[in-house]
Amino acid sequence: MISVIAQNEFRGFLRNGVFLSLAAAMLALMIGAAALSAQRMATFDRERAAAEAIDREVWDGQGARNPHSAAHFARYAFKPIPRLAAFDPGVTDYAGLALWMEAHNQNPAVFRRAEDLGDAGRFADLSPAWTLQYAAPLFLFLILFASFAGEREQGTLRQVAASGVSSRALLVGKFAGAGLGVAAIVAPALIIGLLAASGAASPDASTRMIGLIAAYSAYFIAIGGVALGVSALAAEKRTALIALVAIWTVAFVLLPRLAAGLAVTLHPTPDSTTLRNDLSEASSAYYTNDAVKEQLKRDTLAEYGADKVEDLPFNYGGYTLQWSEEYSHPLFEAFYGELDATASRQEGVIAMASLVSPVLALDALSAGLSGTDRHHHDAFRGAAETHRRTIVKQLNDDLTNNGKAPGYTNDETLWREIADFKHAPPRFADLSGRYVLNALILFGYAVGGVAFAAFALGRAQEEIAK
Amino acid sequence: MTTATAFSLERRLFVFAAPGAMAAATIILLALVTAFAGRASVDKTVKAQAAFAAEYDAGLQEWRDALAKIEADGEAPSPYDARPMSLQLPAVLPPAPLADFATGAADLHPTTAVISGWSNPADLFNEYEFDNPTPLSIGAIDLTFIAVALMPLIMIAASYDVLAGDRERGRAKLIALQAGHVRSSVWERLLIRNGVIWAAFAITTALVAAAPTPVADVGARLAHFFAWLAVALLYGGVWLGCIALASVMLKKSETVASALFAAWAVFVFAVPAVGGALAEGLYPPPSRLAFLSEMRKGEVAAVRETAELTAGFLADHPEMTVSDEAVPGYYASNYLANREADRRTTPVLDAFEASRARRTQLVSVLQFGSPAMIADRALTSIAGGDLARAMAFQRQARTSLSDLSERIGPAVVAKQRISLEAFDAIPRFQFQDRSLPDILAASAAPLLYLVLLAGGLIHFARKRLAAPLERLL
Repeated sequence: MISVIAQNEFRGFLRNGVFLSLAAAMLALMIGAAALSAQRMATFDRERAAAEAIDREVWDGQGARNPHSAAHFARYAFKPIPRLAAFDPGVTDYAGLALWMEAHNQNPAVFRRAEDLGDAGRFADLSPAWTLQYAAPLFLFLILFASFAGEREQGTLRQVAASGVSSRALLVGKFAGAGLGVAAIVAPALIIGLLAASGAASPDASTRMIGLIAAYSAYFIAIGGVALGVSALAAEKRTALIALVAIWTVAFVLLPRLAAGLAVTLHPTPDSTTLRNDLSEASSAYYTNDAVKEQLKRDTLAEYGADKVEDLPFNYGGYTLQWSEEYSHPLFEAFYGELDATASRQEGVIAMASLVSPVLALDALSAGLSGTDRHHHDAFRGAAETHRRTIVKQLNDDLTNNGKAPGYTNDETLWREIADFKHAPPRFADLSGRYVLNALILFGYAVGGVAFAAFALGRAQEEIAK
Repeated sequence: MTTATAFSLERRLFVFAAPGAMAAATIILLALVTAFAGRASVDKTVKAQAAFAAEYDAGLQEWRDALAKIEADGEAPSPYDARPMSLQLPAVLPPAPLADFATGAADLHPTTAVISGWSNPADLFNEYEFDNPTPLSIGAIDLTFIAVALMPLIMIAASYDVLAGDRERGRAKLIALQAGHVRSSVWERLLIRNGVIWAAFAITTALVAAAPTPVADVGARLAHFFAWLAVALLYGGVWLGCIALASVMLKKSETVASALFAAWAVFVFAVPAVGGALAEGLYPPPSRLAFLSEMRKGEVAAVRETAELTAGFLADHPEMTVSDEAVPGYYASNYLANREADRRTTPVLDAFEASRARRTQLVSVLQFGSPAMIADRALTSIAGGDLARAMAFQRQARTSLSDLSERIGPAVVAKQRISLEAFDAIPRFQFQDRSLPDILAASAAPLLYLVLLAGGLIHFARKRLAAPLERLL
């Protein structure tokens, strides 16, 4: 019986002009989004490879120079963009792509692509993930709103109930039929999106892809459950349609933005001017603290039994440069730690909102699985800072150990010893703890969606029986 | 049906009933919450900018006092005092008069810069990318978003069944029997329902606009607000026309709702998304990373060609081996390095401007496919959150840098100080904002299109309503 209902439902879709036109629109949107994303990723890769090569060339070719001057000129870390960003760009356009690993400063990542885009508004960012997260639920609601309400209006639901079909069989049959109809559109769309992102160099690419398929499946089960449930509860088709459109508007359009706005209002990030000053203070902390400078000098002279810095067996200037670096490290950690804490509090508000807006839970999980969320960006920033500390120390040590004579310089021999920045994005398993809440919420939605549909259908059948 | 009867019916069905009260309450609540968030953001910016300007103004006064003393005494107590390279002029993009009404691109672009010989046009704006990218990527909610995206939905929800619902309930025939037509009843009821909705929005936003603000003088703010509200109402008129037309052309209420909702999804989401993607695909922005590479090549070339190696070291740490001769030398080498970086990156910056202009031009054409896009661009522009304003600030700050560079250049390269008179002649940065008529003139064609569209839709709907009753009912 279940398969008969499912087949009948699916056939109904195939005969439905609205379904076919919506399906064609969805597919076209998805193909367009995938093509654009693939083109973007290719551009990202090409630009990054070129920039890395030029950075090496410029670095090596800077000529003879004092090593600390070279440390100020420094090198850049370029963020590798994971292949799955072609599926879900996450925060890629809103987080910097390059980081200047300059002496004394832990800079933020710069060059946010969103700054360079046109002014078509920021209502939508076309990508395969956006299409599935926002457009697909609307598509589902529009094709499923009449599932039960339409039959009820036509009186066929009463006939089906009278023929002895159980509510469970009816629900599973309708669900399976709807699932086939939706899968006919969403599955190719999901596959197109993931194919656009395939060829992943990431070692855990398959884990991430399986995770994405599971997350999106749970999402669509939840959406389908809600659509069928509302359709079963509504007395008329138009009531079901209006209710589902209202749910989509509130949960998918309004709440995400409201949550994001609320998050930054409740937990504001200090203004960039203030932050720039704070960062500058952390950077110059050693040089602006005469007591610390004097203490270091006294301690160093005492340790080496010298009367003045010129008597030390190394370049005291280089020594203090490295000392000042290390003096600033905890200050940078506190600065970025506070920024991260604010960001986490903001994301906490958004996570709370995901209890009433499933797209927020999926958005966070999808970007995490694609390696394009803030946590992955922070991993890049952390790796770049580690590399910065290494190369600045290498250069300062050279100055300290070899730069006793005035006007000391080094050349390409030293510059070539400075390694390129290499960053392997973290494995998903290492960050998975951060996504447990969103995964649970999404799972809860899927279970809740099915339960709601079952409850609604049971109630509808009770009413028919009465 | 007379106007009084229509009002009496609507009073019971909508105005003083649950749907109307809910619609008005939703609008008022959303507008207030959004306005509060917008105001908090503007307050934060104003406060930070004031502190920024005060800090640099104090620095400038100190610099001037030092120069005055040197000119009076004939000698400098320190080689670093009052050097032209140490001049730092603050440049601030103040929040627009109606900044709390539209975020637009304002949360992405820098609003302050330090104009100094140490900078070149490529690195003038730095260390401003601290915001959490997660909420940035989701997008902000502001009064413009409510006007463009949510108000049409509330209008659709409130009005989609004005005629179709009456048809389905048999009320339309009753009205037609009494009045001989349904034309005026449909219009009056549509106007009453949407009037209530827009009145709630207009009154709330007017209160927000009239509330004390740290941004601009009340006159300028109110002038911008009235223009903003007029555009929002015009956009509402387009949707009123769409609803009226769908109501008279389609029979079933769910078909009316589906058609209107599909139109909303296309206008608000699909066209802007596809338009933005098309603009990016056809006119991709030049590589920022290539821009960076050019800047660094320029810096290295300049340092290699113009600076002595010891001066290169002093460029970073002058405090380590100070001498009166060395200091101006390293100032000069850095100045020249920035000039070289400027020369090399100017074509890349021009390419950015050109590609942005081409994208904007394409979007300006594509917007005619979506009234929502026209309204969003016009409202954001009037509120001052548009990309053009952010870019104007960057251009003006770069011009100011170029001017400062020209003024201090000879003295820096000649290892001299500038005179007090020359310092006093340096203009302070003052952002030249567009006037409201200029903004409206820039949006004139699309706004005229909206007027024609609203008029055309309403006219066509009225014409259909005048059709024989048997066709309408």
